[in-house]
Amino acid sequence: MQGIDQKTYLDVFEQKLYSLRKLVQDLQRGLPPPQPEQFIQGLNLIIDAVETFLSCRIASLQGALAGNSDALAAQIAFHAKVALQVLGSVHEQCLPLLHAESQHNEYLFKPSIDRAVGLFTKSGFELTLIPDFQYNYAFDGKENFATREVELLERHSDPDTKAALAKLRNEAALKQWIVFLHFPVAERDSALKLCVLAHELGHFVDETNKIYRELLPLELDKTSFDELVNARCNTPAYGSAAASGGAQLTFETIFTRTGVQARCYLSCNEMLDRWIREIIADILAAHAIGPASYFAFNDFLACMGAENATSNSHPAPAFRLQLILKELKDTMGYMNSASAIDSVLSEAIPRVAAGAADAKYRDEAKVVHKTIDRNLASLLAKIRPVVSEYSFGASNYRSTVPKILERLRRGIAPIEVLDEVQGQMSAASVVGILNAGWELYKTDRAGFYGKFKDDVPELERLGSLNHLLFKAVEASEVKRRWK
Amino acid sequence: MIRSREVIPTSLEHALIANRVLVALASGDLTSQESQDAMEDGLRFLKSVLKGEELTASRSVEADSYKAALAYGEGVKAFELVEYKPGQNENPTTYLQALLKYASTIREQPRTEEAVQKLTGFFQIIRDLALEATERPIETVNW
Amino acid sequence: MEMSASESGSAAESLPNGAVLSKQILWERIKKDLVVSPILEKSQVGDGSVDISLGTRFIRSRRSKTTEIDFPTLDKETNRSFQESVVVPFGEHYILHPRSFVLGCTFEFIALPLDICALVISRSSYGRAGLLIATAMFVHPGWRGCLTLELENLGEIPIKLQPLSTVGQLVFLSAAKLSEQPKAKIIPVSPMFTTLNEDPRWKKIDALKQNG
Repeated sequence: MQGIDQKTYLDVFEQKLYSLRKLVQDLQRGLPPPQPEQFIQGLNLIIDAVETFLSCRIASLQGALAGNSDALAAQIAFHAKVALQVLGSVHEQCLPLLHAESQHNEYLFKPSIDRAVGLFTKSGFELTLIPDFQYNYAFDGKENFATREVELLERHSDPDTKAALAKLRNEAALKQWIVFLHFPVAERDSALKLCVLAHELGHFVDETNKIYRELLPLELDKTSFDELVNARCNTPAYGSAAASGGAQLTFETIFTRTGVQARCYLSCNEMLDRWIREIIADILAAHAIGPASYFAFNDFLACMGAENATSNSHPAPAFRLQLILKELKDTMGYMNSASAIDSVLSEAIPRVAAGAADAKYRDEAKVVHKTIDRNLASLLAKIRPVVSEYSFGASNYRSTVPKILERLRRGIAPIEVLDEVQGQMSAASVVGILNAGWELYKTDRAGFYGKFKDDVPELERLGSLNHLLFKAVEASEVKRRWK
Repeated sequence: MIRSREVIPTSLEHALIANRVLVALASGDLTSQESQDAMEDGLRFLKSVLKGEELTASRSVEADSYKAALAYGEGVKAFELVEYKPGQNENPTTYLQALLKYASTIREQPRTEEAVQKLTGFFQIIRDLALEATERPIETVNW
Repeated sequence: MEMSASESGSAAESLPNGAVLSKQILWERIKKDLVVSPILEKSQVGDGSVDISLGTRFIRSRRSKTTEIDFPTLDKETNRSFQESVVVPFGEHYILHPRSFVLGCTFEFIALPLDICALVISRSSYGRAGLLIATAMFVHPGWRGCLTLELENLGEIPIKLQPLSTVGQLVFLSAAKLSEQPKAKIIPVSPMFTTLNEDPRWKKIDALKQNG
């Protein structure tokens, strides 16, 4: 019992509604064209739906509970709390995205991303790049944004409320997917580092093709799961010392073993679900952009200063690097020659293997890691067919990258390359550009840096390399689309 | 990394289901369409709880098992708060299956007071727990 | 008329310094070592010149608390206090108001071989509407990057500038071959802020003042 009366709930709801609407309008006004119309329309739909939901439900409840004022007050308070929580989610999750969109014009490589996504999904989508102050890359995809939320409110409404909400929903015409790709704002000027976005796009491909569903069901490893439950049951319960002379209470004496088991299953389930999706995205990115995915991911982990440790959402970094390298080698044909790039990749294998062997797994991570390890071959076999047609294997690399790299070495933005068959210049491939950038960086940085005056700081020379790559990606896209 | 927090999380949806069931039970009339829909959703929720139990026992992770696991977790918590007595009644299965039976048969006459009481007690806790459930953190790192 | 490789090669080599390159020689050099990229239409390449278009990045002036431009002390921070970068995506436009000035750049990336130089000529059609584009800009042999263009509206009506619109031409001339590729401070792909403060001449001028 919170001791807050229903009138207060309703008053603060009105105020929150008003300020959110005003905020959306103000943020929208500050956006340069083209505006994220789908997202804004979705936001307004959710806000309108919550207002309709609450007002219609109250009207209906006032009719149904006319003779019972206590019950009516409790129901109004409950519905107001639900409505306030939904508005709170909008405030916390959606408005920062709208605010971040004010800089979206800066990212002129976005058309290349849109085209890449279009190769893998026929679903309509609106995609936005979001510079984030968290040092992390993330995919935030909302399927049937707003219409899904409104449908949910409809399911829990009386007929009149349902009809009002359905009317709102039917008037909106939103695309199936609204997607945000987050990246660390500090890396906005590095085309090399932004290759990690391929992994996040892998999540989008996974979601639209429902690849992860093909990989399930999986059975959690029994031995480690039982160990986890036993360990949790025997964990001392903090702050719950028994009466003097008595044994220390454990969780098992406060909760049921079944309850502990349920909690363990829930956390393992969540972790397995997330780890599998990370593996899917890693493999898809490796196939989509080849060695650039390994190099960019490797540098990103280094930048984070991350220990070789698991998290709720990711397997251990070294395990993932090992997986990517194995995929490049065993399935995509890399590291089978004496080329410069193959040498660099091959050198990494023993180091990464040692790192993977050294990773420590405990608790839920141990259960999930053992489960994945046991099923890895079949998991990978199910992922590969999705990208096999577009895989940037070693032969693609050999036929694409050298000509682009030659231009880059000369300090020229590799926008076009000579197509010897056609006898004319054609747009360089984006994947080729990015890999040429990484190969130059990894194998002949000094040669490129030598093109600059002695007093130019090294990081500014690296900046020039990144600028050339950005320019090449943007301009080659124009060349490709020019009719 | 996937960052896809739901605007309306699953736990809030459970709170809405539970509330509708409570309103239907309190009204005394389970023949209206609204009450029937509410009891249907309540029944579906209980089935999801038991599905979660089955998945936990088999350790099987399926495409939608997370939602069932969440429901089961809430169901077990409710059992721990309502029925559980250390050293006596430790297994929630009997309790949950009894609730399922009550929910399946409550629309038939005569309606037992026990059924109404048990279901009301259970869904009240579910509603309160679900409404208070905070967002799970997006990322926690084990160093 | 198609020339054989040896015929066109020797034609290029026999040109005197300052000679404007013909269309055939230009195409030959574009396939070899002259970079004007991307060329979206073959018609961009004419006799002696290649059309150039406007890029997506601009630097515009804005009102600020800076009271004067003093070139010797005009460092990066001061520059940015009264100028800001703007990105205009393809399909959108930038409005240049009357008597306003903005820095743009070429969409094309240019790299000149060691024996070719270039001049930037603005397109007369724009000039007649009041748009002035950088006059008589000389591009040295060996230079690489996107050229910064100074754009000014001398008319009375605002002008819509669109990325990828053809705003001028590069006229190519043969030049005495440099012995080696000059080293760069930067390879620009967007308009550059002025770096006049780095001119070592200011110190010598200052020295005169002190001795005076």
